[in-house]
Amino acid sequence: MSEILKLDNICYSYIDGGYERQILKNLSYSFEAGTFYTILGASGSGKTTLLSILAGLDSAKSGDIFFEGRNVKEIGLYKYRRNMISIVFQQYNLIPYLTAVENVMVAMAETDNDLPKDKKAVAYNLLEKFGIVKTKADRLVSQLSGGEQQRVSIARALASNVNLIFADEPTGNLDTATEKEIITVFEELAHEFGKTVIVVTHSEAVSKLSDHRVFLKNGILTDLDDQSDNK
Amino acid sequence: MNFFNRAIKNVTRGMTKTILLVLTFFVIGNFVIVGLGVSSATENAKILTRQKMRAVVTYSIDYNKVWQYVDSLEDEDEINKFYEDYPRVRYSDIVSLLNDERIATVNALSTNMVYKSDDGLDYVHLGNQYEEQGGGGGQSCYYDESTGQEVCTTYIEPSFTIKANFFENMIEIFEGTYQIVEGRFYNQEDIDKMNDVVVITDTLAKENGIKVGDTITVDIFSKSDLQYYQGAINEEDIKLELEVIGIYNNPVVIAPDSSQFDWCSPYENPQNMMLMPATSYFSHNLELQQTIFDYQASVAGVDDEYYSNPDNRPTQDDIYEMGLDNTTILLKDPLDVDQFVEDHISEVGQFVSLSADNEQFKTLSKPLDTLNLYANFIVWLVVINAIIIITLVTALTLKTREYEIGVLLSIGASKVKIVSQFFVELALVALIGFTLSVGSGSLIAKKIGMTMLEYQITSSGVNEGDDEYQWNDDYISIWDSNYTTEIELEDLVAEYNVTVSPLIIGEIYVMGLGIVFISIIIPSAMIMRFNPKKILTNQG
Repeated sequence: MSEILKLDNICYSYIDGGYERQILKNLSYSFEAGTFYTILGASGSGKTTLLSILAGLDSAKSGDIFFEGRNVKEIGLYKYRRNMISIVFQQYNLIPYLTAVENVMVAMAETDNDLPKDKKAVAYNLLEKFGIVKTKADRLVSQLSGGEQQRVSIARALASNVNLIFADEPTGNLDTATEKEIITVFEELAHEFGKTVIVVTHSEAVSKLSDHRVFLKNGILTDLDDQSDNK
Repeated sequence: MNFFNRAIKNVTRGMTKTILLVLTFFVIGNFVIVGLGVSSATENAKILTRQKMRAVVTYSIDYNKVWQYVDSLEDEDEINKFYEDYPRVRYSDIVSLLNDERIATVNALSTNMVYKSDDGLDYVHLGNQYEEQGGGGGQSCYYDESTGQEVCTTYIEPSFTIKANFFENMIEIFEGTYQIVEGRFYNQEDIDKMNDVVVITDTLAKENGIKVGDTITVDIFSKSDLQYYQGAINEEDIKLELEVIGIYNNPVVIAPDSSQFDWCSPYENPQNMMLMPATSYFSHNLELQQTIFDYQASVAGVDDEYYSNPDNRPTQDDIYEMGLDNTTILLKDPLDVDQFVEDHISEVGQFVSLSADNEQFKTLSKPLDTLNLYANFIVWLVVINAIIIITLVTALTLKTREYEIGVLLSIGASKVKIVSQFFVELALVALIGFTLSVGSGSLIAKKIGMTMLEYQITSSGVNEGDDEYQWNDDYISIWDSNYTTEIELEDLVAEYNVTVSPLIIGEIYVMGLGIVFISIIIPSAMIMRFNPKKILTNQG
């Protein structure tokens, strides 16, 4: 499989109480296309920070990230976020005054990627694929359940036709049954649609279903499935 | 779902917030409309009233300045020297003003009394008490101690007035006050060539059976002047022969019941007023003065310091240095008068006043000016408050929409687009609020506008001073042509009409957009500082 995302000597630290706290230390790792990854780690280990850097929401203090061989710095963070990746959040982060379908269309309006002309129809199809029928798709997102909102969030992530999807504790607020549904969706995205899904999670259940489990400890990523450092 | 659509959805679906903001803009709009409506009405009332007034600027000697200057002189020689070259309005002084394109025409007039010639035309008789008692003429005698004889001089009353202008188009002709009923008015060629032409009144022409093309004769000096200049000039010298090129109608008549009728001299009767080129009149006047000078020089001999100096002999070049009554400049647009004066005041001489004759208008306009000031103050106060309120509301709203901004940033929406969405949301709400306020605002403006004006008039006391403007009764003077249009406070009030014009509506929308634009600056700065990671990872 081809490499989609490569981290090269990523370092990240911040000042806490007058002391510099090192979160990521010369971290290097390669993510393959069409693979479902989970990143595990204890609370405060820097998982969310790592995800923010991978998703272009923040910048590393040093080191480079390459997307399909191109340095993200050269691409630009806004363009990278707009055209190359999508993010699914634990809190769903949907826009409350918009309906489900409109939320999906927000991402379609921003991306420069090639999309079908009838964006609304595409949005309805995507939502239907994730179990949101048209009647629900036309409701304000506040009128949907947590699971439904997270499915809308995933549909929005897919709507911009990107190959790399990040998720930060996507099942953190969901019951077990819904969690399983969502994980199945991620598996399908990776295996049927060839997307790379990188999920930050605490959940052992979620991690067990992923193709690769990566553990973040002391600022270093360890591939649990290979039992060897991926540097 | 671009930022514009998102803005519309936000406005239409967040009704509580939208209604509150619409109400805010509605209230702001009403205040602004009242302010702008009243301000515009006061401006319009002034403009419309000023447009009804004549666009005249007067160039005249400021005698207050002259007396003050003379009083300041201590040396007798200095005072005498000043009186020798006493300030006068001269054609040569006003030439520099005349290139201004705002000028319609100019009356650079010299008013002169002339006399009935023995073989000339007769004046129009009023048949008043003055004429019945001899017409003002007579003889005055005194005892000359040197000769031991009684010396009598005959005083002869002038019969006509000649108004001589340096310009072809007198204001009265230009405005149609004097109507040419036959022939023509003198033109620039007549002025430049100093043609002996005259335009007389239809009454004078009719009573003397004169037609266009006829020649009339008047005396420049009286017979009593011949006595004074004994030997220097004779009866032939003082004759002024003029070709009648036009007959005009002068609507000004001295009514039999007017205060001046009984004691009005013939030359004061407007029907005895003749119009001719100033160059021609002054040319004859100078000829006479030259003849007198030559005679005096021959009599006085070489020992006389003044008459022996040929430089003191008047020349035809002095035509343009002859004194005028004053100069009245008629502009094309009455609204230009103040600016015209401002533009040229630095060019005029030390003792000259260039006046727009606007004092009465300015005094009467005071309540409107004060009202305008208040109205503008209201507008600015409301606008500044509106900016503060809307800025605060938007900034507070940002806090509640922080995570929405984070989401938009996370999907790659630019901050400019996010700011634009906020701008459109506010602009839409402002548009609705201001549109609703147009109807109510204009009703309130009408009501409040009139009340405010009435209050201003009462408190300013302008009405109480009305009497002082009634000084100008029906007295008709050959010297003073009153070009000032008399106005009263009622004229201004009649033009005061508070309406919300399309221009004001346009102004309100522009102002609304301005308020929104300024109000969004601080929230925009806040948005620009937003970090999507912080927003999205701080949730929950």
